[in-house]
Amino acid sequence: MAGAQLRRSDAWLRAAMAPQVLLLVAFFVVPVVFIVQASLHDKTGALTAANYAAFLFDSYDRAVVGRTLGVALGTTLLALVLGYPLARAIARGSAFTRWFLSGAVFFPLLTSSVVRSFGWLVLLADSGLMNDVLSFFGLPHLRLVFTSLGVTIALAQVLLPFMVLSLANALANIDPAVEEAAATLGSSPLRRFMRVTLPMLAPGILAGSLLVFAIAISSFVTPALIGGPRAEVMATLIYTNATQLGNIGLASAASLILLVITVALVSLYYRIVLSTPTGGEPAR
Amino acid sequence: MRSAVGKWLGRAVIAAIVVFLLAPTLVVVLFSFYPSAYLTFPPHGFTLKWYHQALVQNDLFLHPLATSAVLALTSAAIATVVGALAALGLVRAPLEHRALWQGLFLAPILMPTLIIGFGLMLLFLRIDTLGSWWGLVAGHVTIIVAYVTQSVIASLAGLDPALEEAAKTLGSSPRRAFFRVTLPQIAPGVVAGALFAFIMSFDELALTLLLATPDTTTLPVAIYSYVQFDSGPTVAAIATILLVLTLGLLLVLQRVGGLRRRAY
Repeated sequence: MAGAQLRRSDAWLRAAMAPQVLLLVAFFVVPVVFIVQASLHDKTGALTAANYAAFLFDSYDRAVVGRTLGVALGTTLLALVLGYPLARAIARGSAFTRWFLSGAVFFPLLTSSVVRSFGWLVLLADSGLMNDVLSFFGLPHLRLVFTSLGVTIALAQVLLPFMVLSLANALANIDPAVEEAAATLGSSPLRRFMRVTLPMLAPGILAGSLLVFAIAISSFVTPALIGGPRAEVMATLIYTNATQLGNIGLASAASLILLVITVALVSLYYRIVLSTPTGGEPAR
Repeated sequence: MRSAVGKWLGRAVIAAIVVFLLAPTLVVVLFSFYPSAYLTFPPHGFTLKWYHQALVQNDLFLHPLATSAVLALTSAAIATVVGALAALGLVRAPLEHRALWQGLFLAPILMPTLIIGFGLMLLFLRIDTLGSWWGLVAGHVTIIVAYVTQSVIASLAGLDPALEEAAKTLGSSPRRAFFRVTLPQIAPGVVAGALFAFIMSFDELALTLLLATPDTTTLPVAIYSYVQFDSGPTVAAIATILLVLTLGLLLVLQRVGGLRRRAY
């Protein structure tokens, strides 16, 4: 009797998964299959590899790939440079420091992407606040709107929490006594960082960098508003070709290239995070 | 050991990074109260006229605001039911290949929403329903449902199934045991997931741009389109309203306690 009841509730539990499985098959798996199919056909419907070849041989499309990778790499490096001092202050600071800095780091992530990008436009525009401040002090104008550098700066701001989280986790697992020991034994600050801190921090740096890079290459809103058509990246190319230019094949190939890179990087990220159970514990 | 100069230098670096993090958002709020159409340095004056212009004088944003609210409510409601049920099945049902199912359920979080939207655009073009309201809802549910699933999985994982068994042993029916014992314990996880799903839907832009029509323009899409030709203080006012709404919801979410658990 108890066995039959259990089996009935098992069947109910399996059925409970059905709606989400159906939803994801219809609106997630099938669309991806459609993208694969569209990427392999030209406008007349004939089978072709030209949509992929464009990213290797067409000079404009190749430049877009290069710019996308450049922006993502720049974002990762900037996030690393800005993220390390913050992560250190969070990992080693007082409770108040930790609370305040965590709030500041997560704040951009919690504000709408459109609002944030608009804020950067107001700050960076040619007649914007930053250039106003610069000329107030008699300094030359900086051109950042519609450039890769502007996109990189804005992306680093919003992706910083992912880096800081990874680094702070790794730092929390480093005993400050180890660094102090190196200092007591006469090691210089730079040497101490290179020989003691950095090796223990490496998994955290790698995890944070993978995550930031993966999100940066596929981000759309920030490059669309700050980069515009003059600093086109893969995501904005997909949007423009899917809507205004009607080149579905090219947009599909770009989507799949991005998808494959993202999945590869994220799997690598999870492999690192899962192999270091506390989220960045140094490998022994 | 460290010199006082080094200590203050360290603090200055941290302060500069904090300014970098907060400035783009704060400048929008500042701009929305600023009397002239350009934000100039040094600043002067205060006005509410841009709020009047954004909300009363033109109807550019009111209709999209209503659309966003209805879309996010509908999508989050569907995602909450679907996602909570799936989490329950995933954690409690005897399954082979559990990791595979979990992978499918959480996969949309990892995908750029632009690409999901593009795939859906191709699907809806094929079946000739591009631009429908329910197509837009389907897209939003697809990209937010995983947040509910994840949140409920987390709250179920911290739960002892023996409690429900004990209730049954004491004579409670399975349904009563579920509703009186299990559900109250996972309720915070369900609510947190639902709120987070609502926020993600409310803030979604890329997928909506590809699937919406002028009739179903959401607030992020309206702001995005408006900024293309005018980045004046009117949009700063509406952006500030959006900011306050989102942060208000997040405060509620933090009280429910979902954020802390999600912080990996």
